[in-house]
Amino acid sequence: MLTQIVSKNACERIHDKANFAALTLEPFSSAGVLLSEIIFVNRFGKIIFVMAFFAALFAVRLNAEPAVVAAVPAPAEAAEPLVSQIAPTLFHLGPLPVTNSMVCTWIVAALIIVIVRLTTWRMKEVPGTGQNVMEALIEGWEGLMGNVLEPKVVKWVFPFAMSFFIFIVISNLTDLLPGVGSIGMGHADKTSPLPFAIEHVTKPFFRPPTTDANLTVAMAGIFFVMGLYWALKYNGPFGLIKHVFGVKVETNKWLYPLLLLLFIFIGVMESFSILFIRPVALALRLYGNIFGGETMLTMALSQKPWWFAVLVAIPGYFFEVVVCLLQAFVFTMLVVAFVGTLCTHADEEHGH
Amino acid sequence: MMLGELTGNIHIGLAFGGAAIGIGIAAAGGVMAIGRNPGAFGKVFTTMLIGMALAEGLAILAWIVIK
Repeated sequence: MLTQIVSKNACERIHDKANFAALTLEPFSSAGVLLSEIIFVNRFGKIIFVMAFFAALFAVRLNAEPAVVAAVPAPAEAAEPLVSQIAPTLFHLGPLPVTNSMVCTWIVAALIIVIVRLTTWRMKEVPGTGQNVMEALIEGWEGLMGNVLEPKVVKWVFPFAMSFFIFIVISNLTDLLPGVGSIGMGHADKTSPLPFAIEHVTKPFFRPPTTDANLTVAMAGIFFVMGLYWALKYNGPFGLIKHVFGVKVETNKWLYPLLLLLFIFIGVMESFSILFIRPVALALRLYGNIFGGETMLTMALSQKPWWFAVLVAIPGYFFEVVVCLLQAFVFTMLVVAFVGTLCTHADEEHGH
Repeated sequence: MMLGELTGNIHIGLAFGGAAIGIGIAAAGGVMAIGRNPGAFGKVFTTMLIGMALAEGLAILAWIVIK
């Protein structure tokens, strides 16, 4: 069914009632309980889940801050970089320091909750504009995941990866808004005729959430835990060990011990990749791309003759739009692909 | 007599040069594959993007982690 969804054109896909019903109602209506009740429980559960997610984010960020600060040393040659790698603290909320990227994270989260609630509060069979956009987004992603994963695993991974995608897209795009990263406290500019002009912003009020390594490390950590959980759920503990270390080719009994040694060696390298390289690279790729883009835009806009700044910044903005969308896509797609490598049957690979 | 001087973080330049070569190869392969079989656009494009991201990720690792 998933390949059918992909092969149809967009208009048919959106108005196909059968697929729509299968997507939204099938998993719930089979239990035989009243539909309205289920939708209420479902929404209530989702709200609790979102709250728990933010609580976890909060806790992880609280703990992650010193570690990341230690791991990412500030560049030595620049006394005051254009955009600092550490998000500056705006104010303290009890014992908890609130940084500008945290404020921006909350704004983005509130925005997402409001938009999704407004567009899907009253679901109609013939969708309006907002519902149309959300459905196209979700069905497109379900088709993409269906290419990589089995239907059973899609059902586990889909809500997780989809929330990541929406959250990262909106967080990345705040990078491009005027005022984010440029309005704040800093050294006063005496030569400017404007009353509150600032030469160089050291403490901006808003900072794009994904330019803070704490957020991306926290997201990669959540993916790491959930990925291992899904791998264990799919394969079982012994199945997982067999999947990573086992012999994956057909062989006779004379070659078997030799191949077993080889595959154990491969398994050690693969488990190093699973346990360390994948989450770290996932976190740092997103952080590095968006932080680099933010630095590039700030650098371009602080060139001295104003026409030169505009000349440099306009291509930069076009490039950043592409990078922001692409990095969100890549993060989500890599999460799906990593889960896909762990949640497949080794038997099926014998055919080719 | 000194003709030139190299300072700064050369490893970052080398890492990003390597990443750029890798991304270029991935893009070239993707364009060729789509040209031969336009029907497989979605699958080829997704795989190409993942390959590009993996190539680029190492360069960013070099940029941020190695000092």
